[in-house]
Amino acid sequence: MGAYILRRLLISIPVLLGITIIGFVALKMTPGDPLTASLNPEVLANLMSRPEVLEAERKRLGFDQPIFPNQYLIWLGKVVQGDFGYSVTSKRSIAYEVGSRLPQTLFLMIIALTLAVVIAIPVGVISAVRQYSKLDYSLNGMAIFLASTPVFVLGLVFVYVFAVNLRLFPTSELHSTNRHDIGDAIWHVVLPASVLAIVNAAPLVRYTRASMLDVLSSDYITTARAKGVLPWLVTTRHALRNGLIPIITLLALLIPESVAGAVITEQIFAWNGMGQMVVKAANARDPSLMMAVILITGVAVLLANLIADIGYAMADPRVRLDRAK
Amino acid sequence: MSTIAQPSDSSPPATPAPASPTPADPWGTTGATQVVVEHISAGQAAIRRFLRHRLAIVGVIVVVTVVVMAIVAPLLSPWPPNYIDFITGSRKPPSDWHPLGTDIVGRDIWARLLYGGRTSIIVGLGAVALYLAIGTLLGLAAGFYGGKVDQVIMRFTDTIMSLPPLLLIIVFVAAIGPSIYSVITVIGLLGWPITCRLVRGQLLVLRESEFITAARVVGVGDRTILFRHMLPNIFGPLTVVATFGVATAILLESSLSFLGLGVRPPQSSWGNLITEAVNPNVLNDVPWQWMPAAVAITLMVLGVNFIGDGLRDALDPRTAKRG
Amino acid sequence: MRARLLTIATAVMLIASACSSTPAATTAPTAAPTAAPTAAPTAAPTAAPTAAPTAAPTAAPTAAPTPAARPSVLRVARISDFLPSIHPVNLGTGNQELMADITFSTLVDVDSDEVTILPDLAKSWTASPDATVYTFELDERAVWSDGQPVTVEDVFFTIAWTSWYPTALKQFGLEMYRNVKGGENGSGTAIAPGTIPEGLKKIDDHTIEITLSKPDGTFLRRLAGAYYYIQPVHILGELTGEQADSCEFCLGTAGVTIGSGPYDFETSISATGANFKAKKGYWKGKDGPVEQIVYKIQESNVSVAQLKAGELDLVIRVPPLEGPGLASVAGLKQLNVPGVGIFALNFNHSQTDAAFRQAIAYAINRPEIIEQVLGGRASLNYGIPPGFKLYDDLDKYDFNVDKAKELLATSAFKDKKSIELIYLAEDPNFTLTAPALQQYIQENLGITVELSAFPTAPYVEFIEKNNDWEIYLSFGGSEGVGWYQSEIYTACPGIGVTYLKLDVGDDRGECAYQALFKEAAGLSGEAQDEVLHELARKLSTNIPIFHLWQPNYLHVYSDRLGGGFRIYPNERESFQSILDWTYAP
Repeated sequence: MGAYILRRLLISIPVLLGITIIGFVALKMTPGDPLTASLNPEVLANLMSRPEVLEAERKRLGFDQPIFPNQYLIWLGKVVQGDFGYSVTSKRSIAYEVGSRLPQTLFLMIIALTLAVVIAIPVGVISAVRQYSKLDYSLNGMAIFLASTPVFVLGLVFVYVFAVNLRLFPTSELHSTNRHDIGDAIWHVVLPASVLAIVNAAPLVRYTRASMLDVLSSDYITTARAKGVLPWLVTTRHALRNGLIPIITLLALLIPESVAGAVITEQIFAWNGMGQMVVKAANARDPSLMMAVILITGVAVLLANLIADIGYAMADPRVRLDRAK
Repeated sequence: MSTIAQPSDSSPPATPAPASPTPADPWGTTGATQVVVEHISAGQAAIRRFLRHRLAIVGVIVVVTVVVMAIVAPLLSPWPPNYIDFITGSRKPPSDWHPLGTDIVGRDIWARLLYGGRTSIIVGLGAVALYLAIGTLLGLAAGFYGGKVDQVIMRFTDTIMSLPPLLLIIVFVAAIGPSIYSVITVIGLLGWPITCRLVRGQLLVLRESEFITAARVVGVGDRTILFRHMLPNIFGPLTVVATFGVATAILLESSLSFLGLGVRPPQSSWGNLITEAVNPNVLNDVPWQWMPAAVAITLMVLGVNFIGDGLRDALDPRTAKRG
Repeated sequence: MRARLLTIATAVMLIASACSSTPAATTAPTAAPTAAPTAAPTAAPTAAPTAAPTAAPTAAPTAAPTPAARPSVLRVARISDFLPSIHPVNLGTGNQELMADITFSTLVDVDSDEVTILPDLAKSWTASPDATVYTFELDERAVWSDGQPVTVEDVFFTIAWTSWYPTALKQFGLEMYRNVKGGENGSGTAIAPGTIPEGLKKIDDHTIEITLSKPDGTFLRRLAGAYYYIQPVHILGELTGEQADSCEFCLGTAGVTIGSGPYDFETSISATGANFKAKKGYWKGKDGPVEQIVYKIQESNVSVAQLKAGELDLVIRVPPLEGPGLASVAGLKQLNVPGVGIFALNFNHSQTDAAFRQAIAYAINRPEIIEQVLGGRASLNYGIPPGFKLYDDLDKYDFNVDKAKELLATSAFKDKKSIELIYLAEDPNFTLTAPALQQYIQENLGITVELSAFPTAPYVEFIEKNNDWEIYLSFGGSEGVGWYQSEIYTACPGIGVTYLKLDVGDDRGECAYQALFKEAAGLSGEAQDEVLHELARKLSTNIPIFHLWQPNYLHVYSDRLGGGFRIYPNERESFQSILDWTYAP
């Protein structure tokens, strides 16, 4: 097991480096003076009047050196220390910008993913157990239909129906004015999380169904059935456990998708999280912000995958034996 | 044995679609697993299977209709898509002049729907063609040469795949400035990992197969083996990936338009047409503005996905049984 | 497992329903509408406002009673873009001006007629008949949020700073201060930081005399604008021009940015807005009408949805087309007023000449655009800025294709086959207007118009930092106040206006416009009218900028707002009168 985890970690290192390279490319591709994106605006302001100092600063930060690898390495060194630079638009540090938004996005995503799992797995299992039934067709059809509709259409309709017309939930944002309690936040998260959950649930239903079908057609289930085990016991005791193991990995794989969905959902619900930030940053072409978002999500996804893989290996010994070879 | 999300040799494990909620690969066949394409009269058998797939035929009809309508758009609407009809004015409901009414500026929605279809189709096909080319080449290189080349390419693939596609696309489209070309280029340049993995996986299987060994023994050169013998065997699964990819790209374009990073206005695209509905008043009072495009996009994506399903089942009979 | 899920679901629903009761807005201090100082004629000495000065300005109402109910809240949104600054050199949008309005004070205010001058920091003032010498008597009650009194030194600092760091002045307006005697030493260069220009004189602890180097009859009226708020020298004394972009104070930071206005920053300005809390025992003897103002900067669609869902009390400048869709919402009132912001075509003078510009002006059927695209919710301009009389000999640029073609044939740029029109991507008004203009120019002049929509930041950057643009569409907010406000648009570069790089190299010399503006400012009566006529004729013939139309402004507000509630049409929808508003809980 230890060897497997170690191996898995080692593989992640080049990927991590790759992510930083992509972040760096994004930073460099965006037009604008690199100095404004990397220095505290107040410091920069003081330097502006003294060109010679400014030049020295440029040199100190390595902007006169070749972009690769020198500038990249200098930049990487700063990123490792948590210095992501400064936002050109808000003039505040990236840490400040991200710090205020990351929790809000995580909150939305955790609720949405939980909802998605809670909806999708039972639906997928039922669909598989009742293969070729009307229920199966309609559930599966619904999943395909939802996956073929742009997320924002769903979101807009949700806002319109449930917030504007029925006024059951608020239209947008995390909190009502002057409310900071968790209850208020949950009330606000219902709509965006539902939209995001539906989006994530659609593929999950199909995976669960396929996985369950695989297991249900396997020999040991047939044996169990032949022995006269009650059908629902076969499903819950025998099939479910094995059929759901691959879903662990799948959940991790859903995270990038879910982030993409979150970008749109946050936009619709004026949810002041990372997704809205990246859209604003993109529109304003704010290099450091865009770079930071890439780094943070990349690392988050990498970690999620790592955890999922290890979890998978723990749940299914075949994998780690297979890998240990 | 389950083919679903079975972790492959590399990490992270085989993953679904390159982007968006479309389950481009809902059954996991394009992962690092094997799709053995039969050789004997395989083509005919596949066509027969495809034709038996009712949904796929529906998909073909829908997609062909939409594509034809987009191509002959000028014949179907007398209005140029960007022409403002000052006589009728803005946000007018459907009439004899304007079968689907006018938009906020006074342009014909029907015309914009047709030309918007063009945009969406061009983005879908263009982006997929681009990433298919990149993915195939990289996949071939990785699968064929193995060793260090394979390692580097696969780590690169992992890297791209660990980043949410929409996020990457937003950042890079913004960096080079939004337009239809940048949308195509960026989706194309970032969408290849799935293809790459698929090609590599197929190649690894093929490499061990008897006919390749035979060819090698006879002394056929690397390049010939690669392009003459191996590549044609991958066409089937590649077509499936490409089909789902088109659906994904169309949805991506609409998402980008929604975020203001899609094609540049006044150029019409389905995404642009629907995006007007972010205004609750338009959503409620001007349904002719957004509903046709929303229906069109859903139909098109459904159609393409059905074709993909049909193709996959036709090319790999094993999955059909489970469907 | 299923049972547990059910429990969780029920719990979530219970919590949701528990929270769904609307947050009560209670206890609005019913600010008794005290008699506002009566209409004082402009530039005339006024009596002090009635409110008697309280004994000690520092008598802070400490030991607040335990907070009982939730504070009364006004939820405001204004549809515009976010710029992260509150320093006058950066007050580029109405958002910032509104925030400055409630957190800072100016020497004088203006009534909603946009003419009558009212007291603010100065409780009385005088102006010499020749409009060069002004005196102000500061209200001795005035204090900053940190308890320090507002002093003559604060006023001196605010005015002199613009002369110390003239290159920092990005927004037009502030350089008015440099008209103070000694504020400009000859060639327009800076004076040494720390020196007080000779035109600023301290009469006694609360009285100052300002002498201008040139007469300016518009001085008082302009001082009421948000740009001219008085800054605390004890905090900003060391601020350099470069720092004004990014210092903590300048970014609107809670606890750091303090003013002498009725509200304080409760949260720092962020991309989504800021919260403000009313000062208890505000020195004017009356507190703000609500304890808290939640000021949101957000997209119009979000605001419309929130209005429909009853989540906002006031939205300033809703796109007029949304009016009918919002009419049915209970509890909302609409204020549909002629706007002062003007859509204008700005021409790069190195890429166009007068004949070319006139051709374009004639080629566009503006009444038709207003009627059919804007739903009639705009009023036509005559090419020149409003605030000028419509002299009979001015061309109104009525739609005339033949004349347009004729003029184009005489232009040095007649072979131009395509032009690029730059506009703002995010504002629905721009995205509506640009294609309409494109179509008229293309159809009637045969010139292909390429539309380039930019988000705000690149739009501003493009126009500021490039000089290779041809035409851009602009929307200006406050020039309707009077002819003198339009000086900004034809000012010569080099005095701080960076976003309008009109080429002054040609012999028509746009500096001529500015000279005429300056000349008119120093005159009155018929002499002034003569200069203005000349100026109007020049602007109308050359149309350095072609003023298209003024869209109506639609403000939507809760019917709970009352008292002296009003949104000034001109002064960037100012909140200057906020102390007179009431808000029913």
